[in-house]
Amino acid sequence: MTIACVLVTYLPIKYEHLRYPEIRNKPLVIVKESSGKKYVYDHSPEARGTAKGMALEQALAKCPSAHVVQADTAAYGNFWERVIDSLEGRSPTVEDADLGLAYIDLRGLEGIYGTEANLIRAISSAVPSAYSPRVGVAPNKFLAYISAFFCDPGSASRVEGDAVAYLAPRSINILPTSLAIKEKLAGFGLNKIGEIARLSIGAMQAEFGPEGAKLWRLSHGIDDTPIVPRSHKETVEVCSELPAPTSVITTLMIAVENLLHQAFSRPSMKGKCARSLTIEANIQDKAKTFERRFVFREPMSDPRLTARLVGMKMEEISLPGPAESVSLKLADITGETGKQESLFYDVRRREQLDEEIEQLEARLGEKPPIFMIKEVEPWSRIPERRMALVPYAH
Amino acid sequence: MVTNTREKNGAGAIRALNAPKPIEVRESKENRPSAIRTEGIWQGITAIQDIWRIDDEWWRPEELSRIYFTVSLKDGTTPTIFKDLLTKSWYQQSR
Repeated sequence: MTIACVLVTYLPIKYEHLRYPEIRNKPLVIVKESSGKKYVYDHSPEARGTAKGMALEQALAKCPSAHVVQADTAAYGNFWERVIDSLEGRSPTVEDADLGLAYIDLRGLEGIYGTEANLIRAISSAVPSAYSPRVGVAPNKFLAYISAFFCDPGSASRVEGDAVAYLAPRSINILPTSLAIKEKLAGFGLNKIGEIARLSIGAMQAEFGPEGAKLWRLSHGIDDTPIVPRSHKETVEVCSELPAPTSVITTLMIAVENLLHQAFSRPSMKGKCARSLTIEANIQDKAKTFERRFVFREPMSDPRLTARLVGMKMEEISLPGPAESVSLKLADITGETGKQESLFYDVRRREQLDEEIEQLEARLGEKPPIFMIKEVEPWSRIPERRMALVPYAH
Repeated sequence: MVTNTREKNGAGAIRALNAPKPIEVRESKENRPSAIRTEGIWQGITAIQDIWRIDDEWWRPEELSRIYFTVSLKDGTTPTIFKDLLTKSWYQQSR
């Protein structure tokens, strides 16, 4: 088996450098907000002392001159997805391992491209040259990754000869394991992969368990993990330019509802339902993308009902700026589905009422104050004892 | 039967229906209601359509003794009011 690893280091940084050329070669920190706090999502090599996951305040203390940019994860993801699509045009078996990391099975492709060099050139061309992709070729995924990691930016390399000798001088920090395991290995004086390879598999397994056995096999260049190709899911995408940039959610939802009608009326959606909806909006001037994904409890096929459900949740959101265009993607398409309704009118009414109350509860975030009248002591001579209001049960 | 909501028991979740509201009533010499004050406005009673008395829960510390009147007002409504014979207070039971 021959596997190629395509590695693009600092992908978000390179994306922002292309977006904002004026900050190239300057320390750059990309931050992402989580639970009300801002953390370093990625950083340029010039931002010394910073690390991924570091709090923004700490990062700025380490590198006060760093430019700070808000992470546009939707844009990075879309860009990498297009790269994967392009790689799948070269090989049918492509694994999207992570943002900036992909594995390609090269078996049987030399017949198409002639030589391995042409094949590698074709794979490298799937990534824009501005991102300086690194390509490593080896018999397995781990060796291909190491080969790509240590080759020069914008070039390719192949693991030749003895894999153990190739890996021996490398630091254990490149092993795909947790920081705790790495610290423990260092505690035992195992700082190079070759030092792990000199031990027996039994000794590694006795100390580190199954992880130890895995690390021993990797130190010998043994990696049996298969390439897991991306599963193709049917999606329906529609987009529209807005007549005028707007940051009003109500106006945006009008466009969203129109797009939903378009999407559900497509022939490919006939008799089918969608379980998830992703709304993207291009924000004017900031060149950023607003993205929200909604997953429905039940597959949806009614555009009006879908718009109403999504509208209730969108009311709680504010756009980061005026949106110029909006696009929708229906995903997790299910086959034809039907809902068995009750024969009895009263039961159907009750089911409809239950659904409306569930939607209200989802909107309010708590049980709505809905009560129903129940007879308690209908025989009582005291009028206020005959009936009571009890919480509606569904 | 009340549907089991499978929620924790609590009297706070149940609300009274048709609970009596205190009102002001002018009585005639015969101790019959002649006018009632609803929403801040006094309205004359044109007719008493029905009268009945209930004496109940004599076994409780707070027994219940009421005399009910279904009356017709000048605006055409027919509320049901009662006088608590123990506290001598007037209440409206329903509109």
